[in-house]
Amino acid sequence: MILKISFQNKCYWNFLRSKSQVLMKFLQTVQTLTLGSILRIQPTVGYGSKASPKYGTGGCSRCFSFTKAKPLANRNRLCLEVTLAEASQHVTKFATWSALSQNFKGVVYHSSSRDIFYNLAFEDWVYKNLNLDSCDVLMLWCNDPCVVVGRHQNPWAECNHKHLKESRVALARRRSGGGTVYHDGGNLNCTFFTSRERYNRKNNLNTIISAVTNKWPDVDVSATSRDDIILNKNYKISGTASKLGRKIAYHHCTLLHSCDKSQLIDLLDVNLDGITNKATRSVPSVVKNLQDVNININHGTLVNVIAEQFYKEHLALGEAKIYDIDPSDEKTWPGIHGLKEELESWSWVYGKTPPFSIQRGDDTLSVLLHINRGIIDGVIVRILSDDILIDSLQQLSASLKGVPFTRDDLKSACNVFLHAAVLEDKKKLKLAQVCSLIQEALS
Amino acid sequence: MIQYSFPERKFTEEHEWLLLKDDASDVATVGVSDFAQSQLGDMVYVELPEVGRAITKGEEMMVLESVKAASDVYAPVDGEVVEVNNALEERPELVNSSPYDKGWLFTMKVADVSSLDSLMNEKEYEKFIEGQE
Repeated sequence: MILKISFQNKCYWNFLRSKSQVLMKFLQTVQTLTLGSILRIQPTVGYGSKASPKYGTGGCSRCFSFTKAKPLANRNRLCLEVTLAEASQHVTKFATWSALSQNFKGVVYHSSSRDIFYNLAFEDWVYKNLNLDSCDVLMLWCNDPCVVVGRHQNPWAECNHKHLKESRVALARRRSGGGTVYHDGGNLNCTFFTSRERYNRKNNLNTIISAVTNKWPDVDVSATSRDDIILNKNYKISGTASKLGRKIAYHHCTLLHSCDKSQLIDLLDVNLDGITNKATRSVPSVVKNLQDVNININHGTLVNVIAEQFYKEHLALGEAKIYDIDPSDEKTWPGIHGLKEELESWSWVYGKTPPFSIQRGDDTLSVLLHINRGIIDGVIVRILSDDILIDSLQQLSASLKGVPFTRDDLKSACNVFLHAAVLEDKKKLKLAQVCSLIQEALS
Repeated sequence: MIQYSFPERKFTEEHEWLLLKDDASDVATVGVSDFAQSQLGDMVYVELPEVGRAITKGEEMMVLESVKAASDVYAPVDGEVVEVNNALEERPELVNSSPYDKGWLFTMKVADVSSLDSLMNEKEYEKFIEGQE
């Protein structure tokens, strides 16, 4: 039996390099113990690598050595792939050894808030305030129903606003990249805060996958190249995004265990006709809930198994337990109310939308609205008509410029314009038609 | 005899580079290093700063988005944004394919040209990234 184990994500290059003697000794021991042979030792390196591994087959002590390698794409990340013969338990031992030897501390928080804005504000607070050079933080949290768009997305192109309003679901924009997701109580969010150097999404996803499969071995979950987690090799149960700074980074992901799938589908079902967009687009996926394959999987059990796995891979900062935190507690997290207010503001949620345009109408009458930062930047009306409406249309266009692209603002701006226009009835009727078409841009 | 002296590309520890347009100028072009772009992966969106914005060394001033990760870009020195690379709105991937040329991010008026002395030159930067590995 050949067992191929990638240690990628388990430990770090600097560490390995400094400990290469110890590592070689350890591998020799493994070899002696298993009576097999190390078939290949090769640093797996990222982009721009100048690695020059020396490896061979057969007898161990002479056959490999560590030479300098440059794991550029994955700075300070483990870059070693070891192929061993029949060594499963010893390999496990090695993995544990390397993780513990790093001496990294960790702590698990569970947020008591179900308010998306407070939970995102907590991420912000950690990002701005904590030094995570020697300690990783995992926050587990869930929200009341909400739709969350990525940093550079267009909410008008990502979610169904009519349905959003009717079902009183909150809309938020997070600071990380990536696509739009729907959250409710049936979705667990995991945020992995680390130093920038220790940022490693695959490692974090492996923590979740190990947690789930250790507890429920029949559940088939795996990570994809896009850093999604899929169930039964097909259905998405987790989406990922991250935020990178100078010293600190965080990676958060969703984990669907029992979310309202019909609500998810309805809210993310959007009519894109007529929208021209430079924003980051979401990649739609077929989703499933973990509970569909195992009835015992729910918020509580997932929180426990993930926290347990996290503490297996870290030295507990205090006790190896889940600490409840309340992100709305300004005393403990000074400044968090301000962060929450900013995340809730229209200028963040909508105003951060990259420029886009939206077209409505047909050959005889059409309108094109340009929207920048959520504000109407220009309106172009094309009309086939005998009436000379040019002046009025220019006035209409001028009066709409600067109006926020919301149903209420657009409606009232149109009404004010129509009310003030002194025109014969026929022209006024035509203008009313134009105005209602403009308002359709928000339907 | 005329002596030519060419401005030298300077680097920050946050992996931004900065290059004066010419030695007599206080306007510099700013981008991210090849090392930075290779670490971040394929760019999908570049959030450019506002022209005319006053910037202070070290502050977060724009965001690069690559494969689901949003990365802050920091101001390399004090100054003011003069021009932004609008081509990146359509083609953010230029940051990957041409980080030192077509993938520049913005130009800035440098408040104090001597502040560039504190930044690393290319050789020092290469050493710096080696130390990071």
